[in-house]
Amino acid sequence: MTGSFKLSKSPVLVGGLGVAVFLCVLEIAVETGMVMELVVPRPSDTFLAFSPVQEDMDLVGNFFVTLGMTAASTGIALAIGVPFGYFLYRNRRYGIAYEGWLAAAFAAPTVLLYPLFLVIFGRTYLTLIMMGFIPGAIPIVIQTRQGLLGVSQTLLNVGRSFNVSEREMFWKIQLPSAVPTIFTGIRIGVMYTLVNIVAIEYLIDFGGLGRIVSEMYFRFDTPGTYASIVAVILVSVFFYWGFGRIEKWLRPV
Amino acid sequence: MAQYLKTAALAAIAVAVAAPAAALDKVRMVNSTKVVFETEHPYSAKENGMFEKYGLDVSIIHGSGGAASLQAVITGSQDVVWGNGVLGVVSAYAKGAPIRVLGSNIRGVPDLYWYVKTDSPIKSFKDLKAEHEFAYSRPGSTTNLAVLFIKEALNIPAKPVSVGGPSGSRTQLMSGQVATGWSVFPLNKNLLREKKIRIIGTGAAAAELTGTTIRVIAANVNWLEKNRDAARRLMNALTEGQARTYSSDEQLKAYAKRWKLNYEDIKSAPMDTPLNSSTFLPVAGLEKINKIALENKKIKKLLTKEQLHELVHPMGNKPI
Repeated sequence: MTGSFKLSKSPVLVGGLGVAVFLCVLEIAVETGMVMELVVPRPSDTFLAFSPVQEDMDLVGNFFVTLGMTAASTGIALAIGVPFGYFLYRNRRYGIAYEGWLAAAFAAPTVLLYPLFLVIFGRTYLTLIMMGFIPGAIPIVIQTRQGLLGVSQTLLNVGRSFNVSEREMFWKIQLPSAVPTIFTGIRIGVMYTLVNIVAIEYLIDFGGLGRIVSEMYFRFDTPGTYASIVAVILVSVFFYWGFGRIEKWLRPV
Repeated sequence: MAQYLKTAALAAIAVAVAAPAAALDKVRMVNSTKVVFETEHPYSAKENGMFEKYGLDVSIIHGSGGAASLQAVITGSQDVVWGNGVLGVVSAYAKGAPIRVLGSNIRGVPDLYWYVKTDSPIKSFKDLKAEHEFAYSRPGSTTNLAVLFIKEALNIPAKPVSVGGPSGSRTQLMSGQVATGWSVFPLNKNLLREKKIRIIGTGAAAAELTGTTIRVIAANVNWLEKNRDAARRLMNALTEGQARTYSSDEQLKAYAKRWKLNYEDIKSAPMDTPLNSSTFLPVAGLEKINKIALENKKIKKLLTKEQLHELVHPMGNKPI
Protein backbone atom coordinates (compact mmCIF):
# COMPACT_ATOMS: atom_id res chain seq x y z
CA MET A 1 0.00 0.00 0.00
CA THR A 2 2.84 2.33 0.94
CA GLY A 3 4.56 1.60 -2.39
CA SER A 4 1.46 2.39 -4.45
CA PHE A 5 0.95 5.56 -2.41
CA LYS A 6 4.48 6.73 -3.27
CA LEU A 7 3.98 5.82 -6.90
CA SER A 8 0.86 7.96 -7.09
CA LYS A 9 2.95 10.89 -5.85
CA SER A 10 5.20 10.58 -8.92
CA PRO A 11 3.03 11.01 -12.01
CA VAL A 12 6.06 11.24 -14.31
CA LEU A 13 7.33 7.94 -12.98
CA VAL A 14 3.90 6.34 -13.35
CA GLY A 15 3.62 7.63 -16.91
CA GLY A 16 7.11 6.39 -17.78
CA LEU A 17 6.39 3.03 -16.20
CA GLY A 18 3.18 2.71 -18.23
CA VAL A 19 5.03 3.45 -21.46
CA ALA A 20 7.79 0.99 -20.53
CA VAL A 21 5.25 -1.77 -19.83
CA PHE A 22 3.48 -1.02 -23.13
CA LEU A 23 6.77 -1.21 -25.03
CA CYS A 24 7.67 -4.52 -23.34
CA VAL A 25 4.28 -5.99 -24.24
CA LEU A 26 4.69 -4.75 -27.82
CA GLU A 27 8.20 -6.22 -28.02
CA ILE A 28 6.86 -9.62 -26.94
CA ALA A 29 3.84 -9.35 -29.24
CA VAL A 30 6.09 -8.69 -32.26
CA GLU A 31 8.63 -11.29 -31.19
CA THR A 32 5.97 -13.96 -30.91
CA GLY A 33 4.39 -12.98 -34.21
CA MET A 34 1.14 -11.73 -32.68
CA VAL A 35 1.86 -8.37 -34.34
CA MET A 36 3.32 -8.37 -37.84
CA GLU A 37 6.86 -7.05 -37.80
CA LEU A 38 6.48 -5.47 -41.23
CA VAL A 39 3.67 -3.30 -39.90
CA VAL A 40 4.84 -2.59 -36.36
CA PRO A 41 8.54 -3.11 -35.60
CA ARG A 42 9.97 -4.21 -32.28
CA PRO A 43 10.46 -1.16 -30.05
CA SER A 44 14.10 -2.24 -29.70
CA ASP A 45 14.48 -2.14 -33.51
CA THR A 46 12.91 1.32 -33.58
CA PHE A 47 15.41 2.45 -30.97
CA LEU A 48 18.28 0.99 -32.98
CA ALA A 49 16.99 2.69 -36.15
CA PHE A 50 17.69 6.19 -34.81
CA SER A 51 21.38 6.00 -35.62
CA PRO A 52 21.05 4.86 -39.27
CA VAL A 53 18.22 7.33 -39.91
CA GLN A 54 20.36 10.09 -38.42
CA GLU A 55 23.26 9.05 -40.61
CA ASP A 56 21.14 8.80 -43.74
CA MET A 57 18.63 11.64 -43.36
CA ASP A 58 19.92 13.90 -40.54
CA LEU A 59 17.09 13.14 -38.14
CA VAL A 60 18.26 15.69 -35.54
CA GLY A 61 18.63 18.49 -38.10
CA ASN A 62 15.17 17.77 -39.48
CA PHE A 63 13.78 17.56 -35.94
CA PHE A 64 14.82 21.19 -35.54
CA VAL A 65 13.39 22.09 -38.97
CA THR A 66 9.94 20.77 -37.97
CA LEU A 67 10.31 22.27 -34.50
CA GLY A 68 11.21 25.64 -36.03
CA MET A 69 8.33 25.54 -38.51
CA THR A 70 5.90 24.66 -35.73
CA ALA A 71 7.29 27.39 -33.49
CA ALA A 72 7.01 29.96 -36.28
CA SER A 73 3.43 28.93 -37.12
CA THR A 74 2.42 28.92 -33.46
CA GLY A 75 4.08 32.29 -32.92
CA ILE A 76 2.07 33.83 -35.75
CA ALA A 77 -1.07 32.05 -34.55
CA LEU A 78 -0.56 33.54 -31.07
CA ALA A 79 0.25 37.00 -32.37
CA ILE A 80 -2.95 37.07 -34.40
CA GLY A 81 -5.18 34.66 -32.48
CA VAL A 82 -5.05 36.20 -29.00
CA PRO A 83 -5.73 39.83 -30.10
CA PHE A 84 -8.44 38.65 -32.47
CA GLY A 85 -10.02 36.59 -29.69
CA TYR A 86 -9.90 39.67 -27.47
CA PHE A 87 -11.50 41.72 -30.24
CA LEU A 88 -14.33 39.19 -30.54
CA TYR A 89 -14.77 39.30 -26.76
CA ARG A 90 -14.93 43.09 -26.67
CA ASN A 91 -17.26 43.28 -29.66
CA ARG A 92 -20.02 40.91 -28.67
CA ARG A 93 -21.85 41.05 -32.00
CA TYR A 94 -18.73 40.16 -33.97
CA GLY A 95 -18.06 37.40 -31.49
CA ILE A 96 -21.49 35.86 -31.98
CA ALA A 97 -21.27 36.38 -35.73
CA TYR A 98 -17.89 34.77 -36.25
CA GLU A 99 -17.53 32.05 -33.64
CA GLY A 100 -19.68 29.60 -35.60
CA TRP A 101 -17.69 30.25 -38.77
CA LEU A 102 -14.43 29.79 -36.93
CA ALA A 103 -15.59 26.50 -35.43
CA ALA A 104 -16.66 25.32 -38.88
CA ALA A 105 -13.33 26.38 -40.39
CA PHE A 106 -11.50 24.49 -37.65
CA ALA A 107 -13.29 21.30 -38.62
CA ALA A 108 -12.34 21.73 -42.29
CA PRO A 109 -9.43 19.59 -43.53
CA THR A 110 -7.24 22.54 -44.51
CA VAL A 111 -4.39 20.16 -45.23
CA LEU A 112 -6.12 19.29 -48.50
CA LEU A 113 -5.70 22.87 -49.66
CA TYR A 114 -1.95 22.41 -50.04
CA PRO A 115 -1.95 22.82 -53.85
CA LEU A 116 -3.43 26.29 -53.37
CA PHE A 117 -0.76 27.20 -50.83
CA LEU A 118 1.91 25.86 -53.17
CA VAL A 119 0.67 28.25 -55.82
CA ILE A 120 0.63 31.23 -53.43
CA PHE A 121 3.81 30.62 -51.47
CA GLY A 122 5.70 28.19 -53.69
CA ARG A 123 7.52 25.09 -52.57
CA THR A 124 9.05 26.89 -49.62
CA TYR A 125 9.04 26.84 -45.84
CA LEU A 126 6.51 29.66 -45.99
CA THR A 127 3.93 27.18 -47.31
CA LEU A 128 4.55 24.93 -44.30
CA ILE A 129 4.35 27.84 -41.87
CA MET A 130 1.15 29.24 -43.35
CA MET A 131 -0.51 25.83 -43.52
CA GLY A 132 0.43 25.27 -39.89
CA PHE A 133 -0.75 28.71 -38.82
CA ILE A 134 -4.39 28.34 -39.94
CA PRO A 135 -5.43 25.32 -37.82
CA GLY A 136 -3.30 26.68 -34.98
CA ALA A 137 -4.88 30.13 -34.85
CA ILE A 138 -8.53 29.10 -34.83
CA PRO A 139 -8.67 27.32 -31.43
CA ILE A 140 -6.58 30.13 -29.94
CA VAL A 141 -9.12 32.72 -31.14
CA ILE A 142 -12.09 30.69 -29.90
CA GLN A 143 -10.58 29.80 -26.53
CA THR A 144 -9.31 33.33 -25.91
CA ARG A 145 -12.82 34.67 -26.37
CA GLN A 146 -14.30 31.89 -24.25
CA GLY A 147 -11.68 32.41 -21.55
CA LEU A 148 -12.39 36.12 -21.30
CA LEU A 149 -16.15 35.54 -21.32
CA GLY A 150 -15.72 33.09 -18.47
CA VAL A 151 -13.98 35.52 -16.11
CA SER A 152 -15.93 35.65 -12.86
CA GLN A 153 -18.18 38.67 -12.48
CA THR A 154 -17.15 38.86 -8.83
CA LEU A 155 -13.50 39.37 -9.83
CA LEU A 156 -14.49 42.09 -12.28
CA ASN A 157 -16.61 43.80 -9.60
CA VAL A 158 -13.71 43.68 -7.16
CA GLY A 159 -11.52 45.32 -9.82
CA ARG A 160 -14.10 48.02 -10.41
CA SER A 161 -14.44 48.66 -6.67
CA PHE A 162 -10.72 49.46 -6.63
CA ASN A 163 -11.21 51.80 -9.62
CA VAL A 164 -8.60 49.96 -11.71
CA SER A 165 -8.07 51.19 -15.24
CA GLU A 166 -9.13 49.18 -18.32
CA ARG A 167 -5.53 48.23 -18.92
CA GLU A 168 -5.00 47.04 -15.33
CA MET A 169 -8.31 45.22 -15.43
CA PHE A 170 -7.11 43.28 -18.46
CA TRP A 171 -3.57 42.50 -17.32
CA LYS A 172 -4.25 41.89 -13.64
CA ILE A 173 -7.69 40.30 -13.60
CA GLN A 174 -9.04 39.19 -16.95
CA LEU A 175 -5.89 37.71 -18.51
CA PRO A 176 -4.76 35.70 -15.46
CA SER A 177 -8.29 34.34 -15.07
CA ALA A 178 -8.52 33.45 -18.73
CA VAL A 179 -5.03 31.93 -18.99
CA PRO A 180 -6.05 28.28 -18.39
CA THR A 181 -8.71 28.44 -21.13
CA ILE A 182 -6.43 30.34 -23.51
CA PHE A 183 -3.69 27.77 -22.95
CA THR A 184 -6.13 24.98 -23.67
CA GLY A 185 -6.61 26.68 -27.06
CA ILE A 186 -2.86 27.07 -27.50
CA ARG A 187 -2.23 23.40 -26.73
CA ILE A 188 -4.91 22.28 -29.18
CA GLY A 189 -3.61 24.78 -31.72
CA VAL A 190 0.01 23.71 -31.51
CA MET A 191 -0.95 20.05 -31.94
CA TYR A 192 -2.99 20.83 -35.05
CA THR A 193 -0.19 23.01 -36.34
CA LEU A 194 2.32 20.19 -35.91
CA VAL A 195 0.04 17.61 -37.50
CA ASN A 196 -0.59 19.87 -40.48
CA ILE A 197 3.07 20.70 -40.96
CA VAL A 198 4.18 17.07 -40.79
CA ALA A 199 1.35 16.05 -43.14
CA ILE A 200 2.38 18.66 -45.70
CA GLU A 201 6.03 17.68 -45.37
CA TYR A 202 4.95 14.11 -46.04
CA LEU A 203 2.76 15.07 -49.01
CA ILE A 204 5.10 17.42 -50.84
CA ASP A 205 8.32 15.71 -49.80
CA PHE A 206 9.76 18.92 -48.46
CA GLY A 207 10.85 20.17 -45.06
CA GLY A 208 11.68 18.17 -41.95
CA LEU A 209 10.42 15.06 -40.20
CA GLY A 210 7.37 14.44 -42.41
CA ARG A 211 9.72 14.09 -45.36
CA ILE A 212 11.77 11.48 -43.47
CA VAL A 213 8.63 9.55 -42.46
CA SER A 214 7.62 9.52 -46.11
CA GLU A 215 11.06 8.43 -47.32
CA MET A 216 11.29 5.62 -44.77
CA TYR A 217 7.73 4.51 -45.48
CA PHE A 218 8.36 4.30 -49.21
CA ARG A 219 11.49 2.27 -48.54
CA PHE A 220 9.45 -0.10 -46.36
CA ASP A 221 11.89 0.66 -43.60
CA THR A 222 9.42 0.14 -40.78
CA PRO A 223 11.81 0.76 -37.84
CA GLY A 224 13.04 3.91 -39.62
CA THR A 225 9.46 5.07 -40.16
CA TYR A 226 8.64 4.58 -36.49
CA ALA A 227 11.89 6.23 -35.37
CA SER A 228 10.98 9.35 -37.35
CA ILE A 229 7.42 9.23 -35.97
CA VAL A 230 8.91 9.09 -32.46
CA ALA A 231 10.89 12.24 -33.37
CA VAL A 232 7.58 13.93 -34.32
CA ILE A 233 6.17 12.89 -30.95
CA LEU A 234 9.20 14.46 -29.27
CA VAL A 235 8.43 17.76 -31.02
CA SER A 236 4.90 17.49 -29.65
CA VAL A 237 6.20 16.69 -26.15
CA PHE A 238 8.53 19.67 -26.33
CA PHE A 239 5.67 22.09 -27.07
CA TYR A 240 3.33 20.51 -24.56
CA TRP A 241 5.97 20.77 -21.85
CA GLY A 242 7.06 24.25 -22.96
CA PHE A 243 3.58 25.74 -22.93
CA GLY A 244 2.91 24.07 -19.57
CA ARG A 245 5.94 25.93 -18.15
CA ILE A 246 4.82 29.23 -19.69
CA GLU A 247 1.32 28.76 -18.30
CA LYS A 248 2.70 28.14 -14.82
CA TRP A 249 4.89 31.23 -15.16
CA LEU A 250 1.92 33.38 -16.20
CA ARG A 251 -0.39 31.95 -13.57
CA PRO A 252 1.69 30.50 -10.77
CA VAL A 253 -1.24 29.66 -8.49
CA MET B 1 -44.47 -37.44 -46.88
CA ALA B 2 -45.50 -35.29 -49.80
CA GLN B 3 -44.56 -32.22 -47.80
CA TYR B 4 -41.15 -33.76 -47.11
CA LEU B 5 -40.55 -34.49 -50.77
CA LYS B 6 -41.61 -30.99 -51.70
CA THR B 7 -39.21 -29.44 -49.18
CA ALA B 8 -36.39 -31.72 -50.30
CA ALA B 9 -37.01 -30.82 -53.94
CA LEU B 10 -36.99 -27.11 -53.17
CA ALA B 11 -33.78 -27.48 -51.17
CA ALA B 12 -32.16 -29.37 -54.07
CA ILE B 13 -33.16 -26.64 -56.51
CA ALA B 14 -31.82 -23.95 -54.16
CA VAL B 15 -28.50 -25.79 -53.82
CA ALA B 16 -28.29 -26.25 -57.59
CA VAL B 17 -28.93 -22.55 -58.22
CA ALA B 18 -26.50 -21.44 -55.55
CA ALA B 19 -23.76 -23.91 -56.49
CA PRO B 20 -22.12 -21.98 -59.37
CA ALA B 21 -21.89 -18.82 -57.23
CA ALA B 22 -20.47 -20.74 -54.30
CA ALA B 23 -17.91 -22.42 -56.54
CA LEU B 24 -16.30 -19.13 -57.47
CA ASP B 25 -12.97 -18.51 -55.76
CA LYS B 26 -12.84 -15.14 -54.10
CA VAL B 27 -9.87 -12.90 -54.86
CA ARG B 28 -9.33 -9.48 -53.29
CA MET B 29 -7.47 -7.16 -55.60
CA VAL B 30 -6.19 -3.68 -54.82
CA ASN B 31 -5.56 -1.39 -57.75
CA SER B 32 -2.67 0.87 -56.81
CA THR B 33 -4.08 3.87 -58.63
CA LYS B 34 -7.06 5.13 -60.60
CA VAL B 35 -7.79 6.44 -64.08
CA VAL B 36 -4.45 5.39 -65.62
CA PHE B 37 -5.07 3.22 -68.68
CA GLU B 38 -3.32 0.15 -67.28
CA THR B 39 -5.72 0.09 -64.37
CA GLU B 40 -8.58 -0.60 -66.73
CA HIS B 41 -7.79 -4.25 -67.49
CA PRO B 42 -9.18 -5.72 -64.24
CA TYR B 43 -12.43 -3.80 -64.86
CA SER B 44 -12.53 -5.10 -68.37
CA ALA B 45 -12.17 -8.66 -67.09
CA LYS B 46 -14.80 -8.12 -64.41
CA GLU B 47 -17.40 -6.43 -66.60
CA ASN B 48 -17.04 -8.85 -69.47
CA GLY B 49 -17.38 -12.01 -67.39
CA MET B 50 -13.79 -13.18 -67.73
CA PHE B 51 -13.33 -13.67 -64.01
CA GLU B 52 -16.51 -15.71 -63.78
CA LYS B 53 -15.46 -17.72 -66.81
CA TYR B 54 -12.34 -18.71 -64.86
CA GLY B 55 -14.32 -19.45 -61.71
CA LEU B 56 -13.32 -16.30 -59.85
CA ASP B 57 -15.18 -13.69 -57.84
CA VAL B 58 -12.78 -10.75 -57.83
CA SER B 59 -13.34 -7.64 -55.75
CA ILE B 60 -11.41 -4.55 -56.84
CA ILE B 61 -10.61 -1.65 -54.55
CA HIS B 62 -8.28 1.32 -54.97
CA GLY B 63 -5.25 2.05 -52.86
CA SER B 64 -3.71 5.47 -52.47
CA GLY B 65 -0.51 4.79 -54.35
CA GLY B 66 1.93 1.91 -54.49
CA ALA B 67 3.25 1.78 -50.94
CA ALA B 68 -0.17 1.82 -49.28
CA SER B 69 -1.56 -0.73 -51.74
CA LEU B 70 1.40 -3.03 -51.29
CA GLN B 71 1.04 -2.74 -47.53
CA ALA B 72 -2.54 -4.00 -47.86
CA VAL B 73 -1.29 -7.14 -49.62
CA ILE B 74 1.64 -7.65 -47.27
CA THR B 75 -0.70 -7.60 -44.27
CA GLY B 76 -3.05 -10.01 -46.00
CA SER B 77 -6.02 -7.68 -46.09
CA GLN B 78 -5.87 -7.95 -49.89
CA ASP B 79 -4.57 -10.84 -51.99
CA VAL B 80 -3.22 -9.20 -55.13
CA VAL B 81 -1.94 -5.74 -55.98
CA TRP B 82 -2.22 -4.42 -59.49
CA GLY B 83 0.24 -1.88 -60.91
CA ASN B 84 2.67 -1.52 -58.05
CA GLY B 85 6.13 -0.01 -58.65
CA VAL B 86 8.69 -2.80 -58.89
CA LEU B 87 11.15 -0.87 -56.69
CA GLY B 88 8.64 -0.91 -53.86
CA VAL B 89 8.06 -4.64 -54.29
CA VAL B 90 11.80 -5.37 -54.36
CA SER B 91 12.28 -3.16 -51.30
CA ALA B 92 9.49 -4.88 -49.38
CA TYR B 93 10.67 -8.36 -50.41
CA ALA B 94 14.22 -7.55 -49.27
CA LYS B 95 12.80 -6.76 -45.82
CA GLY B 96 11.07 -10.11 -45.64
CA ALA B 97 7.62 -9.13 -46.85
CA PRO B 98 5.51 -12.10 -48.01
CA ILE B 99 5.18 -10.80 -51.56
CA ARG B 100 5.70 -12.40 -54.97
CA VAL B 101 5.48 -11.01 -58.49
CA LEU B 102 2.93 -12.66 -60.79
CA GLY B 103 3.60 -10.60 -63.87
CA SER B 104 4.78 -7.38 -65.39
CA ASN B 105 2.33 -4.52 -65.60
CA ILE B 106 4.46 -2.34 -67.81
CA ARG B 107 8.00 -2.44 -69.15
CA GLY B 108 9.72 0.87 -69.64
CA VAL B 109 7.89 4.12 -69.01
CA PRO B 110 6.25 4.92 -72.36
CA ASP B 111 3.07 6.12 -70.63
CA LEU B 112 4.82 8.94 -68.80
CA TYR B 113 5.09 12.31 -70.47
CA TRP B 114 6.47 15.74 -69.70
CA TYR B 115 4.84 18.96 -70.76
CA VAL B 116 5.17 22.74 -70.68
CA LYS B 117 2.74 25.62 -71.00
CA THR B 118 1.90 26.35 -74.61
CA ASP B 119 3.70 29.69 -74.52
CA SER B 120 6.92 28.15 -73.20
CA PRO B 121 10.01 28.42 -75.43
CA ILE B 122 10.84 24.79 -74.53
CA LYS B 123 9.90 22.57 -77.47
CA SER B 124 11.54 19.28 -76.51
CA PHE B 125 13.65 17.65 -73.80
CA LYS B 126 16.77 18.92 -75.55
CA ASP B 127 15.73 22.55 -74.94
CA LEU B 128 15.90 22.05 -71.18
CA LYS B 129 18.74 24.15 -69.75
CA ALA B 130 20.43 24.13 -66.35
CA GLU B 131 18.03 26.75 -65.00
CA HIS B 132 14.95 24.67 -65.87
CA GLU B 133 13.21 22.35 -63.42
CA PHE B 134 12.74 18.79 -64.68
CA ALA B 135 9.68 17.58 -62.76
CA TYR B 136 9.25 14.19 -61.12
CA SER B 137 6.92 12.97 -58.38
CA ARG B 138 9.12 12.01 -55.45
CA PRO B 139 12.62 10.67 -54.81
CA GLY B 140 13.01 7.02 -55.74
CA SER B 141 9.78 6.97 -57.75
CA THR B 142 9.35 5.73 -61.30
CA THR B 143 9.24 9.32 -62.56
CA ASN B 144 12.43 10.09 -60.65
CA LEU B 145 14.13 7.14 -62.34
CA ALA B 146 12.79 8.20 -65.72
CA VAL B 147 14.08 11.76 -65.30
CA LEU B 148 17.53 10.53 -64.32
CA PHE B 149 17.68 8.13 -67.28
CA ILE B 150 16.35 10.77 -69.72
CA LYS B 151 18.90 13.30 -68.45
CA GLU B 152 21.66 10.80 -68.96
CA ALA B 153 20.46 9.59 -72.36
CA LEU B 154 20.02 13.10 -73.82
CA ASN B 155 22.70 14.86 -71.76
CA ILE B 156 20.20 17.36 -70.33
CA PRO B 157 21.54 19.78 -67.68
CA ALA B 158 18.09 20.64 -66.19
CA LYS B 159 17.73 20.10 -62.44
CA PRO B 160 15.35 17.36 -61.27
CA VAL B 161 12.69 18.75 -58.92
CA SER B 162 10.19 16.77 -56.87
CA VAL B 163 6.69 18.19 -57.44
CA GLY B 164 4.39 15.44 -56.19
CA GLY B 165 1.68 13.70 -58.22
CA PRO B 166 0.17 14.71 -61.57
CA SER B 167 -2.26 17.22 -60.05
CA GLY B 168 0.38 18.89 -57.89
CA SER B 169 2.70 18.95 -60.87
CA ARG B 170 0.05 20.61 -63.04
CA THR B 171 -0.69 23.24 -60.37
CA GLN B 172 2.97 24.14 -60.01
CA LEU B 173 3.54 24.28 -63.77
CA MET B 174 0.47 26.36 -64.53
CA SER B 175 1.32 28.82 -61.74
CA GLY B 176 4.80 29.24 -63.21
CA GLN B 177 6.76 27.77 -60.31
CA VAL B 178 8.42 25.09 -62.41
CA ALA B 179 9.38 24.92 -66.07
CA THR B 180 8.04 21.43 -66.74
CA GLY B 181 5.27 19.19 -65.50
CA TRP B 182 4.93 15.43 -65.62
CA SER B 183 1.88 13.28 -66.15
CA VAL B 184 0.79 9.86 -67.26
CA PHE B 185 -1.49 9.17 -70.20
CA PRO B 186 -4.37 9.98 -70.36
CA LEU B 187 -4.30 12.38 -67.41
CA ASN B 188 -4.24 16.06 -68.39
CA LYS B 189 -5.10 15.23 -71.97
CA ASN B 190 -7.91 17.75 -71.69
CA LEU B 191 -5.26 20.46 -71.27
CA LEU B 192 -3.55 19.19 -74.41
CA ARG B 193 -6.83 19.25 -76.30
CA GLU B 194 -7.49 22.79 -75.09
CA LYS B 195 -3.95 23.70 -76.18
CA LYS B 196 -3.02 24.92 -72.70
CA ILE B 197 -0.01 22.60 -72.54
CA ARG B 198 2.38 21.00 -74.99
CA ILE B 199 4.21 17.67 -74.66
CA ILE B 200 7.99 17.97 -74.83
CA GLY B 201 8.76 14.27 -74.59
CA THR B 202 7.72 10.92 -73.21
CA GLY B 203 9.25 8.23 -71.05
CA ALA B 204 10.27 6.42 -74.22
CA ALA B 205 13.33 8.72 -74.15
CA ALA B 206 14.54 6.80 -71.09
CA ALA B 207 15.97 4.21 -73.46
CA GLU B 208 17.84 2.39 -70.70
CA LEU B 209 14.53 1.54 -69.05
CA THR B 210 12.91 0.24 -72.23
CA GLY B 211 12.10 -3.42 -71.79
CA THR B 212 12.66 -3.27 -68.02
CA THR B 213 9.69 -4.12 -65.83
CA ILE B 214 8.67 -1.00 -63.94
CA ARG B 215 5.29 -1.87 -62.48
CA VAL B 216 4.08 -5.32 -61.50
CA ILE B 217 1.17 -7.46 -60.44
CA ALA B 218 2.07 -9.03 -57.11
CA ALA B 219 0.45 -11.35 -54.60
CA ASN B 220 0.73 -12.23 -50.96
CA VAL B 221 2.80 -15.42 -50.91
CA ASN B 222 0.66 -17.05 -48.23
CA TRP B 223 -2.41 -16.55 -50.39
CA LEU B 224 -0.50 -17.67 -53.47
CA GLU B 225 0.69 -20.93 -51.92
CA LYS B 226 -2.88 -21.85 -50.95
CA ASN B 227 -4.51 -20.57 -54.15
CA ARG B 228 -2.00 -21.18 -56.89
CA ASP B 229 -4.61 -22.46 -59.28
CA ALA B 230 -6.80 -19.43 -58.62
CA ALA B 231 -3.77 -17.19 -59.23
CA ARG B 232 -3.17 -18.86 -62.60
CA ARG B 233 -6.82 -18.44 -63.54
CA LEU B 234 -6.72 -14.84 -62.39
CA MET B 235 -3.79 -14.06 -64.65
CA ASN B 236 -5.51 -15.78 -67.59
CA ALA B 237 -8.67 -13.77 -66.99
CA LEU B 238 -6.65 -10.59 -66.77
CA THR B 239 -4.90 -11.43 -70.03
CA GLU B 240 -8.29 -11.68 -71.70
CA GLY B 241 -9.43 -8.49 -69.99
CA GLN B 242 -6.36 -6.69 -71.24
CA ALA B 243 -6.88 -8.00 -74.76
CA ARG B 244 -10.38 -6.61 -74.72
CA THR B 245 -9.27 -3.20 -73.43
CA TYR B 246 -6.79 -2.97 -76.28
CA SER B 247 -9.17 -4.15 -78.97
CA SER B 248 -12.64 -2.94 -78.02
CA ASP B 249 -13.94 0.52 -78.64
CA GLU B 250 -16.83 -0.29 -76.31
CA GLN B 251 -14.38 -0.97 -73.48
CA LEU B 252 -12.66 2.35 -74.11
CA LYS B 253 -16.03 4.05 -73.89
CA ALA B 254 -16.71 2.24 -70.62
CA TYR B 255 -13.30 3.38 -69.41
CA ALA B 256 -14.10 6.99 -70.31
CA LYS B 257 -17.48 6.76 -68.62
CA ARG B 258 -16.07 5.19 -65.45
CA TRP B 259 -13.63 8.00 -64.83
CA LYS B 260 -15.69 10.78 -66.44
CA LEU B 261 -13.07 11.30 -69.11
CA ASN B 262 -13.63 12.71 -72.55
CA TYR B 263 -13.61 9.84 -75.02
CA GLU B 264 -11.58 11.97 -77.43
CA ASP B 265 -8.87 12.20 -74.77
CA ILE B 266 -8.58 8.49 -74.20
CA LYS B 267 -9.16 6.88 -77.58
CA SER B 268 -5.42 6.98 -78.30
CA ALA B 269 -4.62 5.31 -74.94
CA PRO B 270 -3.81 1.92 -76.52
CA MET B 271 -1.19 3.66 -78.65
CA ASP B 272 0.13 5.79 -75.79
CA THR B 273 0.70 2.65 -73.74
CA PRO B 274 1.56 0.03 -76.38
CA LEU B 275 0.51 -3.54 -75.74
CA ASN B 276 4.01 -4.86 -76.35
CA SER B 277 5.16 -3.02 -73.21
CA SER B 278 2.15 -4.15 -71.18
CA THR B 279 2.08 -7.92 -71.65
CA PHE B 280 2.36 -9.72 -68.34
CA LEU B 281 5.41 -11.65 -69.43
CA PRO B 282 8.33 -11.34 -69.39
CA VAL B 283 9.14 -9.84 -66.03
CA ALA B 284 12.34 -8.34 -67.37
CA GLY B 285 15.41 -6.48 -66.21
CA LEU B 286 15.19 -7.34 -62.53
CA GLU B 287 18.99 -7.33 -62.28
CA LYS B 288 18.95 -3.71 -63.38
CA ILE B 289 16.11 -2.91 -60.96
CA ASN B 290 18.11 -4.61 -58.22
CA LYS B 291 21.01 -2.19 -58.81
CA ILE B 292 18.71 0.83 -59.09
CA ALA B 293 17.04 -0.18 -55.81
CA LEU B 294 20.43 -0.28 -54.10
CA GLU B 295 21.49 3.08 -55.57
CA ASN B 296 18.22 4.61 -54.36
CA LYS B 297 18.59 3.07 -50.89
CA LYS B 298 15.47 0.98 -51.37
CA ILE B 299 17.51 -2.04 -50.31
CA LYS B 300 20.60 -2.27 -48.15
CA LYS B 301 22.34 -4.91 -50.26
CA LEU B 302 21.75 -6.46 -53.66
CA LEU B 303 19.29 -9.33 -53.78
CA THR B 304 20.97 -12.60 -54.71
CA LYS B 305 20.14 -14.45 -57.93
CA GLU B 306 18.25 -16.99 -55.85
CA GLN B 307 16.17 -14.28 -54.24
CA LEU B 308 15.36 -12.67 -57.59
CA HIS B 309 14.38 -16.12 -58.85
CA GLU B 310 12.18 -16.76 -55.83
CA LEU B 311 10.50 -13.37 -56.20
CA VAL B 312 8.90 -14.02 -59.58
CA HIS B 313 6.10 -16.54 -59.97
CA PRO B 314 5.24 -16.03 -63.66
CA MET B 315 1.47 -16.01 -64.25
CA GLY B 316 1.01 -17.55 -60.82
CA ASN B 317 3.24 -20.56 -61.54
CA LYS B 318 6.12 -21.60 -59.35
CA PRO B 319 9.48 -20.14 -60.42
CA ILE B 320 10.94 -22.19 -63.25
